[in-house]
Amino acid sequence: MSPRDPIPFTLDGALYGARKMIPLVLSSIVFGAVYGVLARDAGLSLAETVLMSATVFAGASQLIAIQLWAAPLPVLPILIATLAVNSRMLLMGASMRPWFTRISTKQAYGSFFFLTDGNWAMAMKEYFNGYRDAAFLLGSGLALYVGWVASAAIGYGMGSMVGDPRVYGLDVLLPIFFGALLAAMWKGKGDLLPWGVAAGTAILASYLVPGHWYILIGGFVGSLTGLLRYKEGDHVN
Amino acid sequence: MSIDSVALYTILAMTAITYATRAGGFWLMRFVPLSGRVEAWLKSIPGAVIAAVVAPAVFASGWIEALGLLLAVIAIRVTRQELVAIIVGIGSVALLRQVFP
Repeated sequence: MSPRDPIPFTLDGALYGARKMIPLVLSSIVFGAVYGVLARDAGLSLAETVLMSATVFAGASQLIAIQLWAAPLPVLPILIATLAVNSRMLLMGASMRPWFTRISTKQAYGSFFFLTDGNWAMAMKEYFNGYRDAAFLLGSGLALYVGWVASAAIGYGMGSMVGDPRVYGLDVLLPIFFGALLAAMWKGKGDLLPWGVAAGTAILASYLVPGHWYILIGGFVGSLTGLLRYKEGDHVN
Repeated sequence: MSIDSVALYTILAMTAITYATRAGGFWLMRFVPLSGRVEAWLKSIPGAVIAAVVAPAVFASGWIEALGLLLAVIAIRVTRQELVAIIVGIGSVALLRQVFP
């Protein structure tokens, strides 16, 4: 596929994305419900709980905001934590530049509202395998979105009837899914340096740097070492 | 159904910040010409970011979670199916937690 070929943005692509998300949708429903329970315990109203899921749509930062929630509301700490936890998505969006630069601005910036860890990682794995339909991100993100917002309300209503996700191993679903994707993305020894540096830097940063910046730091430093693989005249696909 | 106004503005500000992180990386790359070198960097981002998510989680977890991850990795290398890897991974973690509470 040459870089000049047009990039499709079709309903089929969106549906394919949604289908690939089914296991993650199930786990995000469980976690959305857990968030709903915790939000109620923290004193949010039902409307506030659902509104946050529908507009912020980012689980880790929502859970941290709920933990900080108190009267009077510590607005600045909540916003700084939101920026720190979600800063990792800056790198995710940047990595989509070669792909999404060739669809319309409206399609690209509309799709980005629905970018999350899970559907971005899946989309990039598909992209590296030659898949090009850019509606994948929107479709997969919408599937996660519907489950996430609905389950917040359900969790809020059910309260403590929502079980402990640990019993089913659901608390480790995302790291296990990511670890498996990483194994599927493995292309050879060249990956060892950027991945190893990213892993080591992230572990160190998670202990040394307060405030959840470690994914951004590890991901950025690790990806820079990927430059060492580049030689003048190389063609990157 | 009630929304406190400070809570409302806080949630909306969280939304704006989160969207800025979602779209901001893509937007900033407008100003960086896509040379071969830059594309090589962008291509390294997914693996590096995913490693940066997984490594601290595994490092802070116990042997059961690490074993579950290992089994999921083997499952995806053998079957090439994410769904199978997830079921094997979280299934073994759930099972081992029952056996070794």
